[in-house]
Order: sequence, then structure tokens, then C-alpha cells
Amino acid sequence: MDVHGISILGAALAVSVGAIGPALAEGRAVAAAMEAIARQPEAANTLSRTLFVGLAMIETMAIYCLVIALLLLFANPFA
Amino acid sequence: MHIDGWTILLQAVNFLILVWLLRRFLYRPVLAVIAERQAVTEQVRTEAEAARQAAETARRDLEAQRTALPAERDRLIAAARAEAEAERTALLEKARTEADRALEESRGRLAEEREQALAALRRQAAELGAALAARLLRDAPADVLTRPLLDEALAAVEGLSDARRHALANGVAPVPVHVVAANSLPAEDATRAGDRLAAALGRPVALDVVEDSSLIAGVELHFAHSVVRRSWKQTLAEAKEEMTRHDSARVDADAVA
Amino acid sequence: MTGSPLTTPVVFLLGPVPVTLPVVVTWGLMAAMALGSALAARRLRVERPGPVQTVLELVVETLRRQIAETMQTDATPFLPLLGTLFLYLAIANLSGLVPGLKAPTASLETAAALALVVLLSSQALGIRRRGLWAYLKGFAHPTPLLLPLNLLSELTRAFSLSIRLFGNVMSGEFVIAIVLSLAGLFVPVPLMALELLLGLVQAYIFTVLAAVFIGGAVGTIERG
Repeated sequence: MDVHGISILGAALAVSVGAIGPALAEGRAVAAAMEAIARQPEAANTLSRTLFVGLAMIETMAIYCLVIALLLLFANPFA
Repeated sequence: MHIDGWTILLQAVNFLILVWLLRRFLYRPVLAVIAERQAVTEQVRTEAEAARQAAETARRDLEAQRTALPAERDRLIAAARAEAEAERTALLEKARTEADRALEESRGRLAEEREQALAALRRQAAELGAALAARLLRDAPADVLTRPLLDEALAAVEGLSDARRHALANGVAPVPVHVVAANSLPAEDATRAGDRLAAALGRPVALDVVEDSSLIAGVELHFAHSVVRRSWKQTLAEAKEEMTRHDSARVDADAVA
Repeated sequence: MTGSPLTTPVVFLLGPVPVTLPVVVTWGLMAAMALGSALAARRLRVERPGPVQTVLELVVETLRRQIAETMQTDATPFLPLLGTLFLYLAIANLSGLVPGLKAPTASLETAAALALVVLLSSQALGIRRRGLWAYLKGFAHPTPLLLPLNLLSELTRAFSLSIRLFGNVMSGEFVIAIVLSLAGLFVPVPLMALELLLGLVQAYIFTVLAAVFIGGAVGTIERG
């Protein structure tokens, strides 16, 4: 297996593994936010704003993995 | 992968230029308008607030007046009531004193009238009693009753002091003595009377006998200047006099009855 | 298969300076935004504003309120920078959906430039608000031991800010391009709708994070 093959494998691995953690984390974050909103509907504004920011932060992890994958695929420094 | 420094620089500059442009053309005018509108709104609000304050002040004043009104009214009512009370008391007092005075007056007049009526009644009773006694005594045997009375009259003359006896005699002789009797005096009685008088006066006596049935019983010895009365008429008159005087002096229920 | 999404094509050379596509698109957006706002804000009235003025005031007022809520202070001094950031990001992200155009924010250079502007302006505003010495002392908070970590976090925050924006927009466009090359006509439409939402959300997040950084720098909120 040459560098290309390993790069493709690495990219797939990065995206697939890197998606698991943020997916779980986002699920938990949304669940917690829903519970909080149900308990305190008057704080829904602040909560949803914070939730969006938090979701974007979490999602950034997956995006980092995607960037790594794309780097491997299109701007591989070893190829 | 190739990062172009020129592009970064150009984009940063572009962004800053865009910030300046939007600040110049968007934010500044829009914010100015918003601030201006807020100022206008604030001014209107301030005016409304001032008007509200004024209204509130007026309302409070009115409220104070309204709360003061009942107090004033109560005060006036109390004053008027006190005045009326004083006047009423004064009137009442005056009326009472007047009534008392009138009562007292009428009571006095009543007592006086009763007194007078009582006196008149008493007088009548006395007269009636005297008349009754006279009427009763008229049928009594006068000569029997007259003799002791004659003796008593003679004794009275004899009992007088010498000066009085001389005064009775009056310096004349014979002494004229006017004898008034209730009935015809018997002869022995007349002579005995003449003797005793002559003895008492020390001079001769000229008797002049007159009959007067109104005396009822008894005699009257009329001298020149004085009279010795010993008769039932005299006694009855004295008794009537005494009774009338006596009873008018002390008014009581017994006397009325 | 499409070409690499990581490259930025050079449109023309301005002397020694290569002018790339994002720069050209940004120029166009700048011209449109400046012209549009100048036209819209040409006749502003206090009494009885027209619909255009109402929309303008609504946008500006909403931006100011959101920034104020995030920074816990009066937002007027920061409104030009952060408001422009949001408006530019929103329009730039959505411009990627226009056929033939490529979102300027889908290039790492643009995202990096914006993050750099936020980083430098937060330092400048912090120094101006609190004074140089007090601002520098803020890096030693809570203990001087954390000084290198605080300095490093300034850089990594700016770096992650730029990568987040770039990664999201670029990946969205890339996915749409891949789906388009695979399936053709209508299939990418839901993805484009999603990209619409994501573009606005990313603009919002970038702006809020920039507001948080600047707020932390000027000391109105806790340094995040």
C-alpha cells in the first residue's frame, strides 16, 4: 500500500471516527438544553443561543477531522 | 495546500474598508435616527410624566380637601350642637325658674286665698256658733242666770281700786247708773244692786233699769264714762273674738274641720 | 470528481500582487453592501419611517441588542465592527449558493483574515479601554503561572475561529458540489437549504465568539 492508499484510508478513518464523538456530544447537549427549556421556558432565549454556540463548538471537532481528511486527499504533503 | 499571504492581507483590508463604509453609510445615520426618535419619545414621555405628576398632585390635593371636608363639617356640627345645647339649657333654666316663680306665686296666692277663705269660714262658724249659743240660751231661765252675773258685776265694781271707783263716781251724787238687764230685774235684786253700788262708791246711786233681751242673760252697768259688762252676749262675743283671733293665728287642719 | 476545495484560484495579477477569486467576490459584495445601505439610508425620517427604513432600523437595533446581551455592556462602540462582521459573513456565506460564485469565506485566507482582524482589534480595544499595563496584567489572571497558556489560548481561539468558519462553509459547498456531480438536478436542493441555515448560524457564531473575545479583552465579561 503506497502513500495514496494510506492517505485515503486515513481520511476515511478521520471522518468516520471524528464524527462519532461530536454526534454523541451534540445529542447530549441538545437533550440537556431541551430539559432545561422544559423546566424553565422563560430562559429559552438564552438557552437556545448558548446551545447554538455550543453545538457549533462541538461541530467544529468534526469539521477539524473533515479538514484533515481533505488535506490528506487534496493537499497531501507526503504525496 | 497553499496559503496566500496577499489574499489574507487584501481580505483584511477589504473588511476594514467595509467596516468604514458601513459605519459611514449605515450605522451612523440609522443610529442617529433611532437616537433622535428615542429623544422625541423620551420628551413625550417626560411631558406625559409631568402631566401625570400634575394630575397626581391635583388628585392628592382634591383627596386632602375631601378628607378635610368631613372633619370641617363635623367641627361645624359639633359647634352648632354645643351652641344649641347651651341655648336649650339656658332656655330650660329660664323656663324652670319662671315656672318655679309662677308656681311659688300661685301657691302663695292659693295659700292666701285659702287663708282668707278659712278665716271667713271660721268667722262664719264662730258667728254660727255664737248664734247657736244665743239661740240655745234664749230659752234658758234668764233670771236664774242673771243674778249671779249681777253679783259678779257688782263684785267687779267692788274689786276695783279706789281711784277707779272715784273715776266711776265722777264726782256727782247721786251717781247715775244705767243698768241694762237681759230680763226684767226683780225688785229685791235692783235694791240690792243699788245698795252694794252705793256702798262701793260711797255715794247714793240713781238706778235706771232697762231691759234688753239681746244680752241673753246678765247685766251691763253703764257709768258715765265706762261700762261693766257681765252678760252672755259679752261672753259670747269675747269667745267669738278669741276663737277668731286664736284660729287665724294658728291655721291647722283641726280648725278647718 | 471536482477540483480541490482548498485552492484559491488567482483571477489576475495586480503588479506583483495576485488577486484571487475571494478578493474579487469580496469587492463585489462590498460594493453591493455599501451602495445598498447608502441607498436605503438615504432618506431617514424620525416620523413615519418607510418599510425600508423600518427593516434597516430593525436589523441595526437587533444587532446592537444581541451584541449588548453577549458583551453585557453598551454595544454602540462595537457595533460597526461586529455588526459589519455579521452582515458580511451572512451575505458572504449565502453568496456561495449563487450559481457561478464561490463564497469568499470558503477560502482559508478570508477566514484567517477575519479572525486576524478580530484578534488584533480585540487586543487594540482591550488596551484602549483598560490601559496597556492593566490589559497585559489580565493575561496573568488568575495566576502568573497561566501566562503562557493564556497567550497561547488567544492564538488558538483565533485559529479555531478561522478554521471553524472555513471548514463549515467549505465543507458545505464541497458536499453540495459532490452531490451535484453525482446526482444532477434537484437532489442538492435540501443540502442547499441546509447550507442556507448553516451559513447564517456560522455567521452568528463567528460574531458571537468575536463579541465574547472582545468583551473579554475590554473586561466587560469574563475572559472565555
